[in-house]
Amino acid sequence: MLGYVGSPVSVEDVLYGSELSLVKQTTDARMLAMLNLAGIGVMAWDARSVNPDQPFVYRNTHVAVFDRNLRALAGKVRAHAMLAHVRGVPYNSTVQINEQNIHPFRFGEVRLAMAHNGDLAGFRDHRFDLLKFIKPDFARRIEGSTDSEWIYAILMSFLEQPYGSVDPDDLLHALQKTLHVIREVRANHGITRSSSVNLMACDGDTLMAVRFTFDFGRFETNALQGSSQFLSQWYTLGRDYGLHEGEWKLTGGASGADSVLVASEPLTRDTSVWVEVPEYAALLVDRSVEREGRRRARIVALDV
Amino acid sequence: MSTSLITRLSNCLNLEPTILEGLAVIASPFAIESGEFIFRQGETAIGMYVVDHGRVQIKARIPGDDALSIVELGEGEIFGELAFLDEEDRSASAIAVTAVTGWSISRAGFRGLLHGRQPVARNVLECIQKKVAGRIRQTLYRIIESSSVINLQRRTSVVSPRWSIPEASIASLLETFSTTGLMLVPRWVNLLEQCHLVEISRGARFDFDEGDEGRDSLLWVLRGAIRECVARGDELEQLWVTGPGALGAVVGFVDGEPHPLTLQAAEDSLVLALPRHRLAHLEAQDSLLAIFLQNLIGQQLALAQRRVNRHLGRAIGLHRFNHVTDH
Repeated sequence: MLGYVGSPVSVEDVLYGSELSLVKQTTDARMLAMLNLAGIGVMAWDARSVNPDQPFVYRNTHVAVFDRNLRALAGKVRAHAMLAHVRGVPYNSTVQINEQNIHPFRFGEVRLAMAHNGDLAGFRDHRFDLLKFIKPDFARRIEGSTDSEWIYAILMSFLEQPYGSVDPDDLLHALQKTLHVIREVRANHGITRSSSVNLMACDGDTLMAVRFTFDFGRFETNALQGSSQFLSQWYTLGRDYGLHEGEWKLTGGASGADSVLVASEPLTRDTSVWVEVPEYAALLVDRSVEREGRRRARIVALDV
Repeated sequence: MSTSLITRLSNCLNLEPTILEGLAVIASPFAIESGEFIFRQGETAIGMYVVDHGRVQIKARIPGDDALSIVELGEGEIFGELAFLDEEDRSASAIAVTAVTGWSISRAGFRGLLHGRQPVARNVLECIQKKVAGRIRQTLYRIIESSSVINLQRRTSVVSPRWSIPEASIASLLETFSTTGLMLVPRWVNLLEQCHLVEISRGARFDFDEGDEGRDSLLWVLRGAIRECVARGDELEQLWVTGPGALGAVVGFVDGEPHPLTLQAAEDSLVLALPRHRLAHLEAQDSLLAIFLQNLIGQQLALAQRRVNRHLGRAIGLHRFNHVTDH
């Protein structure tokens, strides 16, 4: 998955440009041995568009790398904020491949959208205990079958002001509460298997990227794979994302820069200008009143 | 040429010149002009370098396409030594500040000496590990001095870790982490005989008193996760998290000084603790197991070096993004 806030960029450049771009990660993700064949969702906010608070939305269950409609549209849109997700699912017939399960999720008129990488172990058993934390307004909007949409509904329910512009501190607080109640419900059900909750949330202005795992390092014997490495989440910052000196990057130094690009893994083979969001932490990019509305980026430990 | 190389290395690594003679065979001289790259970040690492004359700057790129100067090295210093510890690509670039002459020692040649059980290889590797531990400490000092503090963890638990003698059944768990068929259960039982088992709950810290045997222990995470942190008053600035199969407290274990970082359980965890003085006993008892452990220690040390550099780059990048005025 991928998130961006900053100066307007070509959606095509971000989705397709680099050698390990998000769309290429459909079949060529490097940090998770998985094909991401179950569709793609893109939200892109453009200040010059009609109703600029509402993003362009594209959701399709086609294999992203073959999606000609997306390619054609991406070349026509520039966005100052983006959230995109290629969906990877287990390779079996129990999985539901449908549009309702495509990330990012966004309930109707609310501003905040969210995408998720990972899965909650035992979700089908403990999800009904999570229902009490979801406001009816949001519970009735759940259309799909994923744990991700439920996490989104809980997050929305804990926001003090879910319908207006998102207050970044309110968002962080809601995130902490969301993780806390999930941890409690897991404990009540005796679930100790490692479960990743890497999230990206964006309202077109504030971007939050979360790298979090419940019970990281707890695994079944002979099933270590997927539990020994913390699911990845990387970011880079600077200006003017594009091809500079033969390299896809944000450039121009960090000082005074205004753009932040986050991805579940670096979009280039050379990872030099990318760093990880730390484990058990959130990267929050918002506008600071003290900085006359310019963006600031901070890393906040998730003390859950 | 080789006499000078041996002298340089002897001084740098604090080893007897006679021990180092075997290394001269696999060394090649190099000369490079001021401003040129000796190697670039992201390239495949092919070996280690020794400076005879001149100055070399080690730099890493950080977010924003900025550069972070890590260290500047002069005559008699080594660089690129992580190539001897792991298989990763270069994590930084080396640039000649002045015209530089020196020697390169290839990874392949060094591995040949190591596999041939040449004493020089083992001695040099131990010294390189201590050198890397020292450099990690230097970077940690910069992090501690930095005004840019990120990712502070507050959670603490008053529950003390529980130390016990590991049961033999733990050997089957250890086997999960083995990447080689040579590491069978009986071999792990040899290791367990030298170790303590530590059960530690989420939020609890490893607090060692002076003289505690655990103070100088290598910590091998079996289940759960341990975070390594810089202490900031009552809070902890997390640098990285170590998961199953990986080692914690490596820096202190390698250089024999108190480990510079505070360790806290990020999850309810099960950890194997190997006191440093028992490693020698293990080496005498089972050399193959000792080699396996030494390789693992080298890899974790190199990873720790990369992680402290990345943490510094992350903190500096965010500081610049947030605090410096517009161009």
